[in-house]
Amino acid sequence: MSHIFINQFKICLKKKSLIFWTLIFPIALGTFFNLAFSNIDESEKFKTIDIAVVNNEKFNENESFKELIRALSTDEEIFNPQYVNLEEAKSLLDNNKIKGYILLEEKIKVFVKENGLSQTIIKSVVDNFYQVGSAVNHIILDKQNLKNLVMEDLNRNYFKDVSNEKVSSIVTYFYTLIGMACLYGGVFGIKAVIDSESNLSKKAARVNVSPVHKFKLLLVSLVVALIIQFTENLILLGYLINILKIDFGNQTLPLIILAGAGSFAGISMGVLIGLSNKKSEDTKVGILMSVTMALSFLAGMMIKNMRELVDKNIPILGQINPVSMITKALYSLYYYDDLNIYFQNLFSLIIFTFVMITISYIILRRKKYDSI
Amino acid sequence: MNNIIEVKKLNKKYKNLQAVKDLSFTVKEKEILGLLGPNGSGKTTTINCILSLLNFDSGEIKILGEKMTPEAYDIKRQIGVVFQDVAVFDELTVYENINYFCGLYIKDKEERRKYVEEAIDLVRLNEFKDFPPKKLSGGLLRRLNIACGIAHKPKIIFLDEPTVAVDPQSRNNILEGIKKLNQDGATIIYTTHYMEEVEILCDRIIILDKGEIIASGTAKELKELTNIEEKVTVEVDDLSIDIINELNKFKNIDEVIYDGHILYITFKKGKDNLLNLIEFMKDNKIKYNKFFSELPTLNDVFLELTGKELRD
Ligand SMILES: Nc1ncnc2c1ncn2[C@@H]1O[C@H](COP(=O)(O)OP(=O)(O)OP(=O)(O)O)[C@@H](O)[C@H]1O
Ligand SMILES: [Mg+2]
Repeated sequence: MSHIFINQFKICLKKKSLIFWTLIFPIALGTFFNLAFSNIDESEKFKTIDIAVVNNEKFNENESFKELIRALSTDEEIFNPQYVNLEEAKSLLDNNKIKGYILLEEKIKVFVKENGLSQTIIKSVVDNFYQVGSAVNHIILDKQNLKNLVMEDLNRNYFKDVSNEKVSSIVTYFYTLIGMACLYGGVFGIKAVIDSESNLSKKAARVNVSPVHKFKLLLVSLVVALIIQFTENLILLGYLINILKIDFGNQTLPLIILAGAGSFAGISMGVLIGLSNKKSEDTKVGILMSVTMALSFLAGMMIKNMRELVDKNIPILGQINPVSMITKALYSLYYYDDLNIYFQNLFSLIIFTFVMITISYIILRRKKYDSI
Repeated sequence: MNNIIEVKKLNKKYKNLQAVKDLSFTVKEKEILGLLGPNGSGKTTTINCILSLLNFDSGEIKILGEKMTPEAYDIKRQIGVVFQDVAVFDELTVYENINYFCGLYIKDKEERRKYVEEAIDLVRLNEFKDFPPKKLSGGLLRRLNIACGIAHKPKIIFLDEPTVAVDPQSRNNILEGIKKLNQDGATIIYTTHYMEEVEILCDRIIILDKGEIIASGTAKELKELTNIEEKVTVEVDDLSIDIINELNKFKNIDEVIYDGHILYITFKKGKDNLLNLIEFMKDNKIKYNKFFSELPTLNDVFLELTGKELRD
């Protein structure tokens, strides 16, 4: 078997079209995205909110609030505060140098000129401080804890949208790109079945008249395919993360597992496409490309918010689309600390793969053909 | 001699097309059996049925005394197949291709290396060992295709039109190679639509048409089936109608054709045909340039049995 393994490796690596679609093309497309989006990135980035805090006695007494503002401006970069007296604060607001100012009296008050997201966020921080503050009134307030509680609420209500804007417009394109690259791995699956089904090629007929079981050969080819595709995915990820500086979060292991599961899903889809008709290899690759492009499109590769649109209107389509699954899993790694959504999508991806392989297996069990 | 292959009442339909009909024959140990038939006569279909690649509607196939099935791995180990279409990996070199396919049969690396070298010698591709198939000419590619099928030294070899689209020199190389495999002990099933090849190569010939056997036997036996004794070609100018009419009245005459320059005469079985013709020419003072006579060919047999030419 080892000689089949080695030769299959050689064949796959020498077959330029395979390497082109699974590695060169995604890298080129990623580079193109990066060029195209580098401008948008700047304009849509969430900007730190300029505020002023009236530096009065009440403020200086309130350690918790002081610490909260500090944490929100240094740890999180949400606020860019100036600590000034009331007069200065008023004039800063009048001259539009700040979005609003905070004044601590009996209560904490927020003064703004207009209504907008920034203003809402400032108010919300204050509201939160009250709510959280009163909830934990009787326990010793851990400052870190307070900030986290406030941030949680902000994330839930505001930053999701703000970040969503940022993420869905740029980073998701790259996540979808990974999904696309995974499915392009199907070219290896197509090649593997063509080389092992005697009604698809004479090379396969050669194998089928030999004493080697065709499943054995197919298995070897698929393992080779998986190794190559997985490696290529890691190269692509490495390129996006290190060269293009795309943020994939910092959970390396789940990222690598996803790259492996994605490769497997793509190859299994290729196997089924390879088995689905008796047309030439080029035609089958064409079908794979078109299906992948359509799925990537629906997962939001070309149009911002496409995925949300699909999820809202035709949820089933979003649920069976492997590019969507990969995109969502990557997005959740980037955005959430817990892995719930990641695992949901990883699980969907595994089910998708399982379905592809089961159908393929049923077709592959045939040993003789009516026509070859 | 043992029967290596037995085919009994094989029937195979592709949808509505009866590709093979009630085919029965046996192949004996160490013989070269030729399956001769025009395009579409069912040669490839027959081979693919024997090899258990194709489903067939009815019939029985035994190889080495055992029923042939897709799982008959012990039988498969003894078989080598050279398919009609070239089937090699473009990404591997000549040597690597032969090594790859040989490796499906021979596990031991050292042993395999020897076998691959021998196969390369046999098809004379020594100079091209490291060539990718894309750089080989059609004839060389065919030889590679053959080497891939027979490198593991099988006992039974199927060759499906291995010389199609090959120049005469390559063809002779290929035929010599096949003879050598046979001398080394292989039983060979050889399909072709070139009658010259089966005449040179095969111990026994089966003529197929529309999926049916229309005749079988040695080349000599088959030729005896025809009514023709010989065919004479004479280069001669200005023959009169009278002379042609005279010729048509000849003893044993089958057919006379004259195109103004060349006279074609076909004689039925009988004696002294040539002698009579030459005397007639002398008596009538007919001057001729070339004069030659041919024995009947398998094409004549085919023509007589089916009313059409072997090659269309
Ligand atoms: N896969 C197929 N589907 C439908 N019909 C087929 C198929 N393969 C062959 N046939 C038909 O079956 C008949 C026998 O074909 P086959 O290929 O066995 O002939 P052959 O003697 O090998 O011809 P050739 O000399 O052209 O190779 C032909 O009429 C052919 O058109
Ligand atoms: Mg044929």
